[in-house]
Amino acid sequence: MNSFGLRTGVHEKKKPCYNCLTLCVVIITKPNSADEVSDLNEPILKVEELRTYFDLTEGTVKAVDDVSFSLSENEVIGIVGETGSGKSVTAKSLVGLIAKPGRLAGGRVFFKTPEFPERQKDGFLDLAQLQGDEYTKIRGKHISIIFQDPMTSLDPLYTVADQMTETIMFHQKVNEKEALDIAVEMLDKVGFSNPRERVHQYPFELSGGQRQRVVIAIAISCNPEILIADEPTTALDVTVQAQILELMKDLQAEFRSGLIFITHDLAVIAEMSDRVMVMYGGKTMEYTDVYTIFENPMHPYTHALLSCIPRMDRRDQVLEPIPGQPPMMLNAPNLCPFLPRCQRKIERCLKELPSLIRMEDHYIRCFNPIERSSASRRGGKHA
Amino acid sequence: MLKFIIRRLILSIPVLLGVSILSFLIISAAPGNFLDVFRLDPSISRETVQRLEREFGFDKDPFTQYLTWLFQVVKGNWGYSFQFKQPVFNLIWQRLGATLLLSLTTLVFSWAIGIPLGIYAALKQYSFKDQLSSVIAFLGLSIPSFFFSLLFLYFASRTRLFPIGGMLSVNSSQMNTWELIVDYLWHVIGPAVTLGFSGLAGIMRQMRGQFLDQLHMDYVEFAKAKGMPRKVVFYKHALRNAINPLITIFGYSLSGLLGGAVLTETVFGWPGMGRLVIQALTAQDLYLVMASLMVSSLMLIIGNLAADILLALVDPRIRYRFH
Amino acid sequence: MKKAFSVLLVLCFLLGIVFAGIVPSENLQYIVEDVHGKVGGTLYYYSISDPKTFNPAFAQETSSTDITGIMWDSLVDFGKNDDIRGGNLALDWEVTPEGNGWTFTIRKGLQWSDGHPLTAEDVYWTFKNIWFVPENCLSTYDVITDAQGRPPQIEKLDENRVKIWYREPYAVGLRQIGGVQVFPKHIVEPVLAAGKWKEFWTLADVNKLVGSGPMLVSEYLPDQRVVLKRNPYYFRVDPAGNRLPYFDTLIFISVPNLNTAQLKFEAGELDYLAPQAAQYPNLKAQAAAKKWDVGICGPTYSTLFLAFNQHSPTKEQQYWFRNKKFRNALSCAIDRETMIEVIYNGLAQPQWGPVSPASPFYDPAVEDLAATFDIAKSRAILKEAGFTWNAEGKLIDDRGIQVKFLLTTNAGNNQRETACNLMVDTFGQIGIDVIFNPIDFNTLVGALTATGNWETMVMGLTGGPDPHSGSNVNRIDGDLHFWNIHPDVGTWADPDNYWISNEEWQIDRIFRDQVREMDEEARWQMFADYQRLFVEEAPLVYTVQALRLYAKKAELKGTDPGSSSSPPILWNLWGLYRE
Ligand SMILES: Nc1ncnc2c1ncn2[C@@H]1O[C@H](COP(=O)(O)OP(=O)(O)OP(=O)(O)O)[C@@H](O)[C@H]1O
Ligand code: SF4
Ligand SMILES: [Mg+2]
Repeated sequence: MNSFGLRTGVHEKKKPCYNCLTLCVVIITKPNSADEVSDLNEPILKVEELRTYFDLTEGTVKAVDDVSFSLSENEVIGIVGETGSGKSVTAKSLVGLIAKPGRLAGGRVFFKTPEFPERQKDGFLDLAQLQGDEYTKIRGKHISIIFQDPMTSLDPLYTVADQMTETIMFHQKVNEKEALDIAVEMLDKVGFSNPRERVHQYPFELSGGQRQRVVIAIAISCNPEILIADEPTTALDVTVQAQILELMKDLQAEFRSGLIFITHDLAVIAEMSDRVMVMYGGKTMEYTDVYTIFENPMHPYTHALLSCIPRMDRRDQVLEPIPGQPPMMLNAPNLCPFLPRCQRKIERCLKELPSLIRMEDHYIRCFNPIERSSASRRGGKHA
Repeated sequence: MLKFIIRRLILSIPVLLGVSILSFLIISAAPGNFLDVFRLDPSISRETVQRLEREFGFDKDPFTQYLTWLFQVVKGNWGYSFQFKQPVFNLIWQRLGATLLLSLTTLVFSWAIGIPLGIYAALKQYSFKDQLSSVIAFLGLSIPSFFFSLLFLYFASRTRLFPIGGMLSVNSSQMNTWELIVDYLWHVIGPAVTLGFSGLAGIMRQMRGQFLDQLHMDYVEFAKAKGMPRKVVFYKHALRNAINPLITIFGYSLSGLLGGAVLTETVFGWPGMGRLVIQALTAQDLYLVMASLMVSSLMLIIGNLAADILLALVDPRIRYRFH
Repeated sequence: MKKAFSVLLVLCFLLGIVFAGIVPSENLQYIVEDVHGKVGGTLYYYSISDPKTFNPAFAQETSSTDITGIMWDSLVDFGKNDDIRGGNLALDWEVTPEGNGWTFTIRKGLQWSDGHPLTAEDVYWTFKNIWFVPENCLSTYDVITDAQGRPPQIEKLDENRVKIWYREPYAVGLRQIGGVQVFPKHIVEPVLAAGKWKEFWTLADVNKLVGSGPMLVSEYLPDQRVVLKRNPYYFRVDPAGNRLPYFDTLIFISVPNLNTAQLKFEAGELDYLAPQAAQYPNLKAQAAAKKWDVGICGPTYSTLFLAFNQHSPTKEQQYWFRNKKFRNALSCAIDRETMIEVIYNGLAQPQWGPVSPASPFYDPAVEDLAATFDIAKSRAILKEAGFTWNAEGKLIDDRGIQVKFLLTTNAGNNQRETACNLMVDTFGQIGIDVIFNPIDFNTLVGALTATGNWETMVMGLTGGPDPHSGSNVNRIDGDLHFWNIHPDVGTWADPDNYWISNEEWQIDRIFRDQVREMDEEARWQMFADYQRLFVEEAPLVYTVQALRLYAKKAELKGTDPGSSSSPPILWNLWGLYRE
């Protein structure tokens, strides 16, 4: 199915891998055909130096601290990183879901949208400038987000119909009946049998997979330009996971929306993403296309991450968890967060923080990156 | 649902029966009886006391007395009060109104203020106003309402802003309905506030806590993520969910409607059941005590049932289990 | 013609109102009281507990009798100290030639509050059908029967006269017969016939009340208030011809306790307050500024005594408790002055004998026999009686047994508990170990009347103006002769170990004889002997007696507070007015 031969293998042996790599966000732009690649050049979302801090009594948690990436229409970006590396906070920051004691401490989130034309610059609206209910014009309508736990994402006290129509009616200015029709149609799209009746069920009457389908149906019901999926399948059992992923892939293909995909599963990243951002300690560490990440990672952290994935072609290989502890996020020093665990650290790493450097289409934050070797590069995704 | 209610009511019969047996035996086991005061009265002869003993049935053993009572109750006769020579139900009935009026006013007071205040405090979490309300709530929860009532009475007597106890003014019989309502409200402030304060504080804290918990729930966040405005997120999703546990508390507080105010009624001279029951207990007015116990137990059962029904009305998961 | 007739009719009607309402009818033999007040207004009184019934035949506690006492009058009028003032419903009376009864002449022209005439027939019927039938009243039958429990006889001589007599001369008969109320036959007879008397005139029957007293209940709201309105047919007038009472309305406002009553009095909502000793100084201090009269009515009929169980379950105690010297020694070891200060804020007086100074039968001579607090004297008496002290200073009797006992009272009664604690302390000073063990009231009553399971106790019994009311206590076979119960009465008394002192025999004799003594002077002397004997014998050691206190608005006039068993200012309700 793909040349990495990764997918099945990872599915079977995913669990041991959790120790070292807990989460990935994948932002995928879809390179289904050559002409679509041109979309990559016209981003609809540009995230620049995003910073989200939590002010706790014990100190400040810099959950997201200098994250940058961009997303084009029909592109899939994967975000990957250990637990606590700030993936979810990044995703929430994009749509203004950071509640106290958190705050957006800096950065820009430029989004191409017809909303608030008077506040736009060069055709982009800086979402970081929006206040309170202004976000309601963006969320759910232009950017939707799906959380990791389908069991708890739906309000237990309202029927599926109610929760779907309230969104549809709010964003699309249709009456209740029309909204219900749309809802049924969406349920049908996400693979519900008998949606006309099931739409009136309560969440507790649905299975986990069904609930996640409802969540996805809600998310895409207003045809958003961007869909953010934060570990959409982690809480589901393995067979359901595959179905949901398949569904998402199909839907993304159909709606041609930008997708930001956060997952633990590097195999899923490999399968779904066009580009990958690796996060560590709240920072973008490496950010480039999916082939480069897997075949020629330059960042020591990415490298370490990949080496603890069992590979089908090297079954005998012993797992190599990244030695050391994940970074302390509270009052972190202004140095490379990977420093304590890095085996390539040099003198300079002890003194200053590396910034995100662009080398062609490859962004990297490291003073001592691994040399690019075209030899190690193996076959591409569509080889 | 109806089937559920009926089943619950049928199930409550043995409970009531058990309560009545237990109460009757405990009262009978207590030393002495209603006639003790007569025994110590030099002007009452032994023959009279014996005659009364026969009349009241004290010459029979407690079990026979109980069965006689039960038999009469089943026939709808709750017995006569030894003290008042009136059917006990009339006595209770006369005072039930006042007690319910006070309890309901208190309930309305504590819920109508506690809920919004809790929501307000949650929305203003960590602000000065939130912390102030926490301090007040802490006071409300820690000061016994009895002590608070005494303070209030003292305050009322010094300032003359409020009446010194009672439910209506002495000239209430000359008032029209409107004046009566005003007069009642003027009188009820003291008992309702002092009685309801700790409840209010508790409800407020509960509401605040529940609401804050809800704000962190995934579905509330998802509602936000769907682009729902604050109003919808807070009041349709967070609040509805936060209210659920409070509904249960509300139901249970219904069961306390009759017995919750005994001390306050006594301090404020409120013409409710509390004082009647205390008097009946001290005088060992057996059937009056029994009837009030039974009424209170019934209230407890109804309160619990009401709590369950209310919860079923607001929570589809519970409703589902009833089918 | 027709018009003239209707005018006449209206005139008659108006006149009728004037005469019926204000001017007493020509033929009424009314009582003219020497009061000069102003008609109208409302008197605000209070009650701490609600009445339980409005039926005097079944009213027991004062909360009920205070109110029924206003609604129904009796034959004889009692004054502020329960002294006989004169006739009430009776115009006068004379002792029958046989000396064993009285012929009462009922006032002419009396009317019930519904306008129905009140005649000798009502009196006759009430005694015959209510008071002479034990089932038809709670305990009044006990009150009016003679010392042997036999009821008197009654005969209606004519429309105005009834004769009531006992089998033999019965001294207290006048007070007892004259004190019970008379009911309207036309109302009660059908009720009684229907077997509904017991449930009649309950609190629910406000609209059925027909009485003869100055006021009648017109409204009752449980735990809120009892409102009484003047009886337009009441038979007292003032010298100016105003029909009494002066007040139109009397309201008993229900209060939960005396503290609230005080708050209400201070706030001006009440005209009167009977304060406790603890409240008194504060009220007295404000009296001048607030225009109140605050003072002392006089001694009450309540008592507080120490009793010794001469049939104590602890056998060796019987030996001490039957020793009158022992009891007298303990009397000397009671610090009454401190009790008065501590318990009553100084508003009490020592009580020496069984009869209250409020009673007309009180003999001040008992004060000379008084035991004052004197530890040395107490020890001297004990020594004389053969007691000694061991090395630790503990009291030992002549058989070598250490003297110690349990002292009890009803728990929750602060005054009694304080008295007990003071006794524990001072008895310790004469070497007696006393263990204070308060118990629940009902348990205490059980111990006194059913089991005899007690050693010593502090108790109180309420007396009355006539010491005869204590018959049941003083006669050796009385039910309440609890300190030395007769074996026929109390099963716990061992007949083989029953012993009665000479003094107790004499007291018993007096109580049997005094009822036949129709001469007041001679009877007074008998009770003087009784008081002397009792104090010398000291079967009960009396301690202190509370004083009754009052506080009232100065604008409330006509009050004459005394020791009366009815509320102290209400005995002459008819004469009260507001200035
Ligand atoms: N509400 C909050 N208050 C304080 N700290 C927070 C809050 N939310 C997140 N953080 C902190 O921000 C950091 C990043 O959290 P985030 O949830 O984004 O991690 P993640 O990469 O999504 O991890 P996971 O794989 O476990 O989901 C964590 O250290 C977390 O402790
Ligand atoms: S910057 Fe230094 S410490 Fe950080 S990853 Fe690169 S080499 Fe390691
Ligand atoms: Mg996460």
